[in-house]
Amino acid sequence: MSVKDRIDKILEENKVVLFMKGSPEAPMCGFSARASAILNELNTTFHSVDVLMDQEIREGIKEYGNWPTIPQLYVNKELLGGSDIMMEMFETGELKEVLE
Amino acid sequence: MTPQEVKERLQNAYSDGYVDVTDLTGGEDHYSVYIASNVFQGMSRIQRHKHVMNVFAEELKTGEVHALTIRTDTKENR
Repeated sequence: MSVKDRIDKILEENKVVLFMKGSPEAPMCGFSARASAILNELNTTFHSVDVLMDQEIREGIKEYGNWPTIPQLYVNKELLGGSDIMMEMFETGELKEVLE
Repeated sequence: MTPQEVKERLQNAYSDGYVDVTDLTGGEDHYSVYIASNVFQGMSRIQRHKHVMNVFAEELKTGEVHALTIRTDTKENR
């Protein structure tokens, strides 16, 4: 199974997916921590993928959505962006709408 | 990558624009950048961010720039 197929499958099975460093309970990077905290703040059920535990996905996801950094948030198989876009959308209330 | 280099790279990429660069940690690898340029006219938020990150594609890949927080405007909204 190619990394692209693996990612397709994860996005197929989960409406909201956060590719991050570490886990929501133990984030390993400030931006990943902020991204998961925002989703928790909105009581969002989401699937998190710890890219530190999966080097293939860590590099594959950057190519998949042509986005070079982690974290990355996907909703309905679409890349929303990284933690600063999430923060911006959280502050304007847009993120809440998208996640509903 | 020093703040001056980051600023110069952005000024070249957005020659019509206003550029502001902040080194978030002093470690010269976590930057917050603000760019007001008409290049962003009609671009969605994510397209704008991709456009800016593309300017540092190599450094983001090597990790020389670890994190880039981006805020953009067109020149009118600045």
